[in-house]
Formats: sequence, structure tokens, C-alpha cells
Amino acid sequence: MTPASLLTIHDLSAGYGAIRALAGVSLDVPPNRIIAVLGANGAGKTTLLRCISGLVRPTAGRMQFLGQDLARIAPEVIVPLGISHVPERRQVFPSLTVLENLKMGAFTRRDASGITEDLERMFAMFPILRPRARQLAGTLSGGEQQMLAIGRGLMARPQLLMLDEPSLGLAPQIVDEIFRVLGVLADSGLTLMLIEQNAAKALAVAHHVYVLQNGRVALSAPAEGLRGTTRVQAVYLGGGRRARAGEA
Amino acid sequence: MLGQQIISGLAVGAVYALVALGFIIIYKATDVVNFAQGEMMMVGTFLCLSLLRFFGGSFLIAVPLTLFAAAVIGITMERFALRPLIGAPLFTIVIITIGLSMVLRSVAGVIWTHDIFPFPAIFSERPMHVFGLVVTPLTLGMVATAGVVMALLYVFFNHTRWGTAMRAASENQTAAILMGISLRRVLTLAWGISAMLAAIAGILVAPMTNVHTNMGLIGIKAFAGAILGGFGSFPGAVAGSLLLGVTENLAAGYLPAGLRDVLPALLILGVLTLRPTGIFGQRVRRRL
Repeated sequence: MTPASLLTIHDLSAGYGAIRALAGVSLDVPPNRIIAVLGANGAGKTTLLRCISGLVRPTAGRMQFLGQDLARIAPEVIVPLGISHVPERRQVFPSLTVLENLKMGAFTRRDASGITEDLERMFAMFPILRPRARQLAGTLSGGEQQMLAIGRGLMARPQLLMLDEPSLGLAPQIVDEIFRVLGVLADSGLTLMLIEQNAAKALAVAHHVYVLQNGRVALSAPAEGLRGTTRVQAVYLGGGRRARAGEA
Repeated sequence: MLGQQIISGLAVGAVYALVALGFIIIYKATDVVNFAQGEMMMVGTFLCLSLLRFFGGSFLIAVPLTLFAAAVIGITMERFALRPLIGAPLFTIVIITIGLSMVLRSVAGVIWTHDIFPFPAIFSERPMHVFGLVVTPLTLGMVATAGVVMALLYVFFNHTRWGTAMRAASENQTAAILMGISLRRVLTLAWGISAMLAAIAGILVAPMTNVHTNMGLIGIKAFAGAILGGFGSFPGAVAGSLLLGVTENLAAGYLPAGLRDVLPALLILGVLTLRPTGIFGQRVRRRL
């Protein structure tokens, strides 16, 4: 597709104790693209993101971001390299204000004027957050919290934004709004790595799709060819909506 | 008489409050109650006494050096006694803090002996009349100093990058890590700040209590104050500690000897029966 890769992952394995969550995953994230990572519960999607952001230490394999090896460095070093991870279930800081949450997103940055500019950009991108700037994040609705979580992730000025199920538990109009913003972000040159259960939504915006199955890449294909088919859903996602329990 | 009792109660309560805030800062950063908090106060006070002797009684030199040394001791304790235990069951870690309190007490005994030493007052103890009350500058100074320290803490936690980061980390460690906040740095700050708070409290209260290796028992009172206010809440710790200090002082002034020590205990029992989460305690609420 595009010449150089932003992120390359080669034969990555990781696990929790005896449980092996990733068993030799290789993938490639070119710049200015939306990469969707699909898969059933427990397929290893979240673990993959947690490895990239340094939360989980892989047991084997290589990860390179802009030529830099990621496997052995701490999250506080990975964030300023340009990788931002918007975690599953949003995980905003409930008793910090909306503004404080956004500022925490810029924690590793020291350019005060740039941070002020970016705060303004976030309020322009998510206008609903502006009147709530002084409100505690815990008082926001689920959709507002998701917007805040994305805004917080963007405040690090990442080159790669990783989102773990941004549509989870949200009303359809809000999901539409969030995917609209993700489209705008991609058009502005940001690279996105998107985990989704909502395969149709993810296929609609993504350029390339990886499907994980039992910690392995079961399918790697351009998204175009998969749109409108139910093949991905039926074959790889275990029939879609199942109760979410113990996502690894 | 009543007014004076209340003022001296507030002074002692303010000291409890400083120690209680130390408890809560560490609790919020680590989920651990540091039972060595009182002993950190005792060691800080002894250090200050030695430094005062060395520098000819100058608080201006001794206090900053004491605070620095206290912070170093607190940070060292965290780094070498507690950090290796990250991931261990909370109960184990709490036991370690109790062990640390014993170590601090014995080491202090070896260095300074188990005798009781008078401690010079940083503010004058000569009584003066203020609005018809007889108070000492020491009492007022204790309240004022504690007030200034609390204001500084407020500004730190609400208006600085690292202070906000510490609050963020206490809410959600995973999310804090994803912001690029170093949890090790948060722990270092928590223990350093708590140790300094303990030292300040000791320096303020020591003219009344003297310095001795069992001085750390004040930590138990501060802990009670923090629970009274609702453990985990900063304003609660201050309110609970002040209430406890005043109650204690009133009991000492008006009740027969046998009942004096019971009243504060009854107060805690009463409040926690009516409001199990403490005065300012919040029910644990979580919204997904």
C-alpha cells in the first residue's frame, strides 16, 4: 500500500500466567490509514493493544514504531514517541474534571501553548464537552465519556491512535458521531488502529482489516472486499453479539 | 475557659490532621494504610531536635533540613521496603508497614535512647490575650502552620501537573500509565510528601508532648481522625482530626479522669454507627 510502515509487529506472543493471549501475531500499520482489528471475545485484540502501549510485556516477538524497538520500553516513554491508547470501557478519571482529564492526556508534553491550542481543538471537535469543561468526568453520559476518552488520547498529539471498542455500549446515533470524528481524524493524516465488535461499522471506515482468532491472525485483507458481506461476521466473530465476559 | 479549650483542641487536632493527610496521600497512591506514619513523625522530630542542637537552636536551618531528611527517609522506605512488594496482597504490605514502624522505633532508640526529651517551641509559649481569650502563640502557630500546609497541598493537588497526575493515578492506575504518568514517580512523591507532613506535625506538637520513641502513638489518633472524617477524603481527614482534637481537649477539661480517654472513642463509635462511611465519606459509586 504505502511505502514505509509506522508500526510493524512481528511474531508477537504474550500471555497472562499460563494463558496465552497472543500466539505469534504479525501485522503492519502503514501511515495515514485506519486499520481495524476484529475478532471474537478473547481473541487477543485488547492484549495486542496493551503490548503496543507497554502495559503488557510480550513474551516473544518484535514491535517497531518508526524504526524504534518498543518491546522493552516503559509506557511513559512510548506515549511521547507518538502512540496513544484509548482503553476499553473509556476509563476516564471520574473525579477529575473534563478539562483535567484532557490535560492529563497531554501529561508528557511540556509545550504549554501547544496544549492550550489542542484543548481548543478538542472542544471544537467535541462541542458537547465545552460547556462541561468544569464538570467531573464521572457525571458525563457514556457517549460523552467516550468522546472525552478520545479527546484525552488525542491530547498526547499521537501519530498512532489506538482505540479499544469505542462504540461499546453506546446508542447508534452516538456511535455514528464517533465514527464520523474518526473519519475526520484519519483525513487529517492520523493513523488509527481500531478494535471493534461492530464489524460493519469498522469495515465501513477501515482501509485494512486484521481478524484475530485465538491469538493468531486468521485474516489480513483490504476492507473494501469485505464490506457488505457477512463473511467476516459469520466465519470469524463467532456469530456476533455474545455476552462479553473476561475479554483478554 | 470553653473557648480556650476549643482553641487548644483545634491546635492538637490540626497536628492530627497533618499526620492524617499523610495517611491518606499514601493510601490514595497505593491502597495501603501506612502504619509507620506515626513513627515517621517521631523520627522527623528527633532529627529536628538533633539538628537544632547542632545549629545552635536555629529553626530556620533545622526545619528545612529536617523536611529534606524526612522526605529522603520516606522515599527510601518506599523504594526498598515496599516497592519490591508491588503486586503482593494488600495484607502483606500492611504488615510490612507495621514492621517498618517497629524498625523505626528501635533504630530511633539506638540513636537517641528511649528517654524523654523536651523540645523547644518554634512559636512562643508566653500566654497572650486575644479577643478575651488567653492563648499562646504556639497554639495559634500550630493552627496557622497546619492551615498554610493544607493550602499548599490543595494547590499542589488541584493546580499542578504532578498533583493532578497523583489524583488521576489514584483513580485508575491503568489509565494513568496510558497517559505516560510514571507510577514509580507517584509513589515517590506520595511517600516524600507524607514523611514531610509527619515531620512538620511532630515539630509542632513536640513542645507539648516532648520527644520520645513512643511518640508515634499520635499516629493512631490521626488514623482515628481520618476514619472519623471518612477515610480517603482530604477535607474529611481535616474535619475528623479537628473534631477529635477538640473532643479530647473538652473531655480532659470537663470530665472526671476515668471518662477522659473514653469520650473520643465513644465519638468515633457514635459517628461510625450513624454514618459508616465517616463524616465526608462517599459511598463507592461506579459508573460505566
